[in-house]
Amino acid sequence: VTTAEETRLEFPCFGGRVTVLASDGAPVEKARERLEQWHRALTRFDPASELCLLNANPSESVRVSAIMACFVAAAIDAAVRTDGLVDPTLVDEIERAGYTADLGEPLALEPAAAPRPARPSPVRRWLDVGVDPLTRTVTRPPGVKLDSGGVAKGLFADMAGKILAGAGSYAVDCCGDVRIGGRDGVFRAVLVDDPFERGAPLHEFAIAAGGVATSGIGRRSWIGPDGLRAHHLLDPSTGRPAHTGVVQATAPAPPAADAEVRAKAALLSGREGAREWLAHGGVLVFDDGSQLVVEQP
Amino acid sequence: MSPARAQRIHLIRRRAVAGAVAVFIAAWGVIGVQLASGNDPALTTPTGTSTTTTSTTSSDQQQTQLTTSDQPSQAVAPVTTSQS
Repeated sequence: VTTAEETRLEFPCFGGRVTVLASDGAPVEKARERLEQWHRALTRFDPASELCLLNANPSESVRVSAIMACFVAAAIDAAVRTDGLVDPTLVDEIERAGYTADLGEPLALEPAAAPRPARPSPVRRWLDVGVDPLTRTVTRPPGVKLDSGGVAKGLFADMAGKILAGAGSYAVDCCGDVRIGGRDGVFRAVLVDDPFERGAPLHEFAIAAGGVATSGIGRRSWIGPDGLRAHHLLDPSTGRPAHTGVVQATAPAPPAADAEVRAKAALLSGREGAREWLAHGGVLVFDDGSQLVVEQP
Repeated sequence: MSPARAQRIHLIRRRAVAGAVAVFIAAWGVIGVQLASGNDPALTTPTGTSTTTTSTTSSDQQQTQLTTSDQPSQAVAPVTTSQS
């Protein structure tokens, strides 16, 4: 199948780089506008963002924008499907760990001293969060804060993909969470990056429609207030960065939002439990540099 | 309770549940259209917009297929998935 030449846009967003590719004059600029608009609404690093205003709101019920309603629904869904392993309510914990602004250069990956799988928090604050799509109202006990870091980029990739659905082919890469589609059904190569930067991609998927996401502890990492290595994927049971022995997980799934949840849950589950989240296949990278390609059943 | 009454109660319950599900789907559909068109009244819209209809976000996972192959096409550029 030959396709028309694709328009390519790259721009900074979500604390990283976003790439939008689409053929047939699809509205890539419109997709960019929406992505930037959604980023402004859901960033945790702007006190004037809708997310920060929601988190600071002392009311139990808060009327929100459509994108916020969708995000909260996706966040609740992620927590339910993982039984709290992917927990969107760990804002205070991530800030205590030192992630309060965009980060600088990441730390080099090292083997975990005592790897262990992450566990859900016994508090299960996410059970108290709800969203009513009719009234676009979010309800939660005041003080329960939501973090967009866990599920938003996959959701945004899916939604930007809807804008480009008329194209023969398109791809939306939101900092590693990718949505692919198009009328022509062209199989696009999706290369899995090596977190140890050894030169070649670790694996190649060929996807005509669907999503793929990668989660890892290498890029958003820093030295915490306690002087220890820290990163942005927390063990909900401790509120501390999870060191599970898995440093990167890549998961394909029908929508990118689902892929992102699967990738995160796989990483948090550790060496033994990761595979169960890769129902559509995937790639795991361990802290000793080894890797495992999980074939699609 | 008579069987007829029990049957009627069962019927009413089923209709109520079906109605609630329909309202839920319709509400997410409206939100999906708003987001695709950029007509989100709670957000400031930076510039002029055009409209595109779209399916609902909440039903996305049911509607979307994952279509994979062993061989990628050379006709489109590859993308890289890396940790974020």
